[in-house]
Amino acid sequence: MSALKIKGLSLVRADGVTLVDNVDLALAPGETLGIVGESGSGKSLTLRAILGILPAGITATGEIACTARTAMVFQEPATALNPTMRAGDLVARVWRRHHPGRSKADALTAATELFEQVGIDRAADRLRAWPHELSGGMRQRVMIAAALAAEPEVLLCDEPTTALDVRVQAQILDLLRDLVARRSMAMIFVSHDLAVVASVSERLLVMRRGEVVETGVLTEVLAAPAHEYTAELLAANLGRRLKSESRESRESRESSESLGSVTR
Amino acid sequence: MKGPKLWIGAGVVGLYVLAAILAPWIAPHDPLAQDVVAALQGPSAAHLLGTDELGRDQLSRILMAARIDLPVAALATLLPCLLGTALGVICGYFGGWFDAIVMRISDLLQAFPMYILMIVLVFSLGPGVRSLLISFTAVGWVVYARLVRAEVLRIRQTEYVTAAITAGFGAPRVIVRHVLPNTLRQTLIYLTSDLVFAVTALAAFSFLGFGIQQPTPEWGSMIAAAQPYITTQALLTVVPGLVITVLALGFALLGDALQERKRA
Ligand SMILES: Nc1ncnc2c1ncn2[C@@H]1O[C@H](COP(=O)(O)OP(=O)(O)OP(=O)(O)O)[C@@H](O)[C@H]1O
Ligand SMILES: [Mg+2]
Repeated sequence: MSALKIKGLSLVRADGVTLVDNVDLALAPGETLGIVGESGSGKSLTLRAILGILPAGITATGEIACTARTAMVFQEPATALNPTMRAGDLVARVWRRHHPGRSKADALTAATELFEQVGIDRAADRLRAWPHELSGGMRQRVMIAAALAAEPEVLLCDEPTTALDVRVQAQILDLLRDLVARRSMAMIFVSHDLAVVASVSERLLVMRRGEVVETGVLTEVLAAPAHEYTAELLAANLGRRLKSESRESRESRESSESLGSVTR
Repeated sequence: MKGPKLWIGAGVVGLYVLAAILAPWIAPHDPLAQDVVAALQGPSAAHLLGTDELGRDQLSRILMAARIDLPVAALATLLPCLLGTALGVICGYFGGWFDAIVMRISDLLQAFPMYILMIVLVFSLGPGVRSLLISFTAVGWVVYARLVRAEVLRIRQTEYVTAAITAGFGAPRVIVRHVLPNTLRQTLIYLTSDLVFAVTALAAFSFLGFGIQQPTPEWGSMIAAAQPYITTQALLTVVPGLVITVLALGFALLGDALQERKRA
């Protein structure tokens, strides 16, 4: 059983150029998949194809079977929030859209809870904030809260930390890791930064020029990359940072897994 | 909210609006009451701005005219704005054949000088407020439609609109909540400068006898009526002229200030 299954997805531009070529991908419920690849490798388009929001002029062929509810977190916190809508309003509206028949008061309560869950302090005050009053990290938290309001089974993240500074980036990654574990949500996390992807993913998919060059369990791929491009990425990312982060995430995952088996 | 332009502009316009509202109470005389014996008098204690060719109190007529000129000028910009915004949003958001047709029509309209088109329309519809408003709307919507369409094309590409669509909101919701509010600022700036045009054009049409008819007090037609006496009672033409100019200047300053604030 899989929450999301893609078979032979190809995306072709109107002028005949193939942007994404024959991509296969499967995501089990609760699983986290990282997609890494250089700029222009077709990561964002693949996510857009899953959501059915391809830009005009791009046609898709292949199969996308998605039974799960999906929500997306975007790259640019500066443009991902409507500047004329209060942060809490946005989250409350999305929540109500997915809980028809519930009152505005319920939606507000839910929005407050979601704000707390994504680590926004003084949540009740921040509900009334305009996007321009929030920092980049805060905006990204609001985006995540809005995504969670749809109660997704699969969360799609398109470089959600690329526009943030390193410290805030680490906080958001922690938050996502935590949310995915707590809600047993599946996640696809896209980035051009292997170290970032490695810190939140169990499985890895490497893309280059619209093609999947390698896919497998993260630790195995990192330990023995089968494709030279993966090895290149790894070399480029090597340094203390990658090693420490992937070890850290492996440890935390192992500890949570052992916890899980104890309760089971 | 700073800068003298904004405050002077808002002050001037505010004063005119106040005068229009309070005119029935602050006007010293009935603006329609004739006193042929006291016709064409210069300023006096009883008639601060003198009397016109029928002996009506000039100050009272100027004040009461604000109750005609202001609302008609406002409608003459608001109606084209509403029509143009509605068309612009539909064209920009949905595109397709409707967009193509509307843009062809607007190309056609823009090929003619605006004033000529309006004169032809008013001439064929006959004088009066109704035909003025019809011709202002029929010609004026074009700029609003183009402006709003361009804004919508830009906004439709933003991540917050994509986010709203992926959150499951339908087109009407997305348009009303996410697209339209973000076009308003740009529209407002143009609308303010369009008021300058409306105020002067309204007076010009009335001056030419196509607008508001005597004996209803209206600045443009007052100038026209006082024309024969320009050598003996120059004030009768100068004061309504000044009144129009200052109001137009007020709107121009306001429009300028809004434009500058946007850039800042
Ligand atoms: N709307 C579009 N029309 C035409 N081509 C597009 C469009 N959007 C993307 N492309 C092309 O498709 C290719 C893949 O784009 P995509 O945005 O998926 O890359 P990406 O892997 O997300 O890159 P990045 O890391 O820069 O976000 C690029 O070559 C890009 O030029
Ligand atoms: Mg991208």
